[in-house]
Amino acid sequence: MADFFGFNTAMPGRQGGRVALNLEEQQELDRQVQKYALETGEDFEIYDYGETYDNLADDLEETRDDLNDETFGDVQRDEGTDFDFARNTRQVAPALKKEEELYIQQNDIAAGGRRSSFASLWENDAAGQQDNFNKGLPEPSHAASSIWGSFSNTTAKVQDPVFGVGTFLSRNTGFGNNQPSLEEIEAQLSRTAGGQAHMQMPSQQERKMMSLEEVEAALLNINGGRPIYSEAMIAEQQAKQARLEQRRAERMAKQAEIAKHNGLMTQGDKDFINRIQISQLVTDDPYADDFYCQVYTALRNRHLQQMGVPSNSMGGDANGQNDNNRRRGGNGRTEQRIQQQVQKIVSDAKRNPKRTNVTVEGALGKIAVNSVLNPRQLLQVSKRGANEASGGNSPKTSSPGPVSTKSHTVLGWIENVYTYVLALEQKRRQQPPPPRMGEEELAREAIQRWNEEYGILARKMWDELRITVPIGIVHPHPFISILNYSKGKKVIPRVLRHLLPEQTLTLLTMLVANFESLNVCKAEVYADVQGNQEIELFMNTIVPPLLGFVSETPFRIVVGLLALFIERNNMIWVARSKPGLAFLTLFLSRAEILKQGQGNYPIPDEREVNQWNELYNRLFSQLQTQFSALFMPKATMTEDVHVWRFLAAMAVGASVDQQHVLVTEVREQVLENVIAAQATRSAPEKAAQRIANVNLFLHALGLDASQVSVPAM
Amino acid sequence: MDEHAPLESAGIEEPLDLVRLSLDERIYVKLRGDRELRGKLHAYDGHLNMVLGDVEETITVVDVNDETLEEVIRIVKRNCEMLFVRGDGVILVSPPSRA
Repeated sequence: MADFFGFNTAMPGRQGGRVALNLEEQQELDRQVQKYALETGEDFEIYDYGETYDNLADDLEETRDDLNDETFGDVQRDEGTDFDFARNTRQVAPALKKEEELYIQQNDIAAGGRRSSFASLWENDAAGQQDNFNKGLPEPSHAASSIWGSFSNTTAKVQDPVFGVGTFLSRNTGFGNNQPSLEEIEAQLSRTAGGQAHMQMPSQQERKMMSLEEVEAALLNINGGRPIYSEAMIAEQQAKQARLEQRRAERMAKQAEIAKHNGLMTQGDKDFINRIQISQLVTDDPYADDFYCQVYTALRNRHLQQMGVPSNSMGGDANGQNDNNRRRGGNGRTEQRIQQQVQKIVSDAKRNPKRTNVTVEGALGKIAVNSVLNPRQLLQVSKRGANEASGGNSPKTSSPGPVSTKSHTVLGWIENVYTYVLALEQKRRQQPPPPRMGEEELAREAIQRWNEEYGILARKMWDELRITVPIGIVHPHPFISILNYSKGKKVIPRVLRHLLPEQTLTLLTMLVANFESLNVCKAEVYADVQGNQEIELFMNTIVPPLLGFVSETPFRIVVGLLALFIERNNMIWVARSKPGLAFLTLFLSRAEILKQGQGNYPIPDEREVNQWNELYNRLFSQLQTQFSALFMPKATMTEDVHVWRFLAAMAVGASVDQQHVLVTEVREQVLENVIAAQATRSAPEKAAQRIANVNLFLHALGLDASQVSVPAM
Repeated sequence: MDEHAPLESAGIEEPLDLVRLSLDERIYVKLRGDRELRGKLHAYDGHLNMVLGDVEETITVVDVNDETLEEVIRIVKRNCEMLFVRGDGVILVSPPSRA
């Protein structure tokens, strides 16, 4: 308790004072003070003056100061600069100010609670003291409060000789309740009474002076010792600095808050957490569980390859990984570590088959292990199908009956087809690897088993398509009903991949035989947007794979298909539809190719050719007078390409007379296109398209659009 | 493959099987908050979360006049190319009513 905030509180010059009390007296006095304070419940420093004042001042002579000048000399005399505190202070004012700011800040941060005692100190102490000293001075600025605090403190010391020991002590106690008791201070005082106090005198003096200077500087500031504008600027700057300081402090605090938890987890802990999280996502069967990601990745890779970017597979072969690392720079290591983790987990998962629950030794219950793939089961619904199977009679599964074609029935078929298609695609991905040396037997077994399973699925899918349902039992035919849904059309390319060639032929036959009941053949579908979408879908999904199939069929089969087509359908009706024309074109052009001996088949014999010619003539006669009607009203030239293509296919196989008929019938359309192409206002690419369309047909006849003479209009 | 067990020809065993039949078809969805959707069902799950394409959303708003307390029914429509519907708002799913 030697000093208080750096100020030595040891009492100066105690034994030299006239009022030195002995120890007993002192203690007695203090006891009284304390007792009084306790009784009144008030701070005793308020009363300390009256209690402890030793009336020494009464002895001072207040009058008869006339001879003071004689005693002390001329007051106006120059005293030198030894006591010009103000100037000295001004020289060090900036440093003092800074020091004070620091001091205030420290206090602000360190002890909010202590500040209140400071304030009280100010009120109790300094206010009274200040009046004694500087009457008429304006109130000091708030910023200088601490100065005042220290000032009043030291003032008390200055006046010690006057007020006596008691006053000094009571001042000290005024610092707050957390200050040591009077006894303690007294003990301290008596200990230091030895002469130590004398030694401390010089430094004490210095401090005293400093604080006086501070006071003066502060007063000067307030009294306009400096220009006002600089005052404002300083205040502004201070405020700015304070703001910055505050912001910085806030930021630091925030960072500290975050950094508090730094290093809590070791790398091992982090890996452990990662493993737990990733193990939820690991699967043996990425195609079934993560289908969209797989497909998306495959598509994206294909796209990137087309763009010339090296592929970057999900699984990540060594090359791919390096590539990744290089590109992502800093993240590389983390990524690599995660990839290692994943590999570890995957291999773990492969070693230990999935368990749904764990029994810990010694535990009473089982711990259910739930994951994404094995969620907690909430409902136990027994499936009817399972019951039937256990009952032993399942007539429905073996032969799907050709019941009604009510919409939900057909939709159910389509869904079943999708189910089997997905299962088949899955099976294909799980195809057993080719036999390795020494394991032929094992591999053969696996392959055989796979083939069996695949065959069963393929047959189920075939049954669901209901292609083999005899024609005429229900109308439209179940297979056609399936094709009348857009999702039914969409599944066909995927179905065809799993069909045997004879099954595909059956499918094609059934389609051709029932062609006119397809919704895409109905004229009204051309009327609206949705209908046109359906046609587009048909052209994009069903025609291409079947075109691929037909382009490998022998002549005999083409003849058979066309015969069935003409037999079973109204040609005029069918030919007006885009898909119908497409199929007709397909058969005609294929037959022509085979007739000319191209393809891998021998040139058809005469009987077959005659059969074909007969068919052709039938078709031609049916369509005669209708050729120009094949063009759709208001069709744009890109939309009637298929018509020109069909006309070309017809023209190739036509006799001279038939060619003449053809030309006569579509003469108007040819002229129309040529004129439109020659018209100056049409765009060059459109004109070229028109000419190209017309030439499709004219070239088949051995003509060209340039030979067409446009009659003068 | 359990969840995709083939439906028997008559075979609707649980309500969601009916929703499955509507995949890739246009459906009508009634939602909480006086909203209705008409669009093509691309995907759904057990919560009836759905992905719809080419959607027309119809919101029915009832404006109450503060003074007269008169209720004015307003219908707001908007179209979305693709929409994710959170299942907790779904009241009803059905094929669109055939006009």
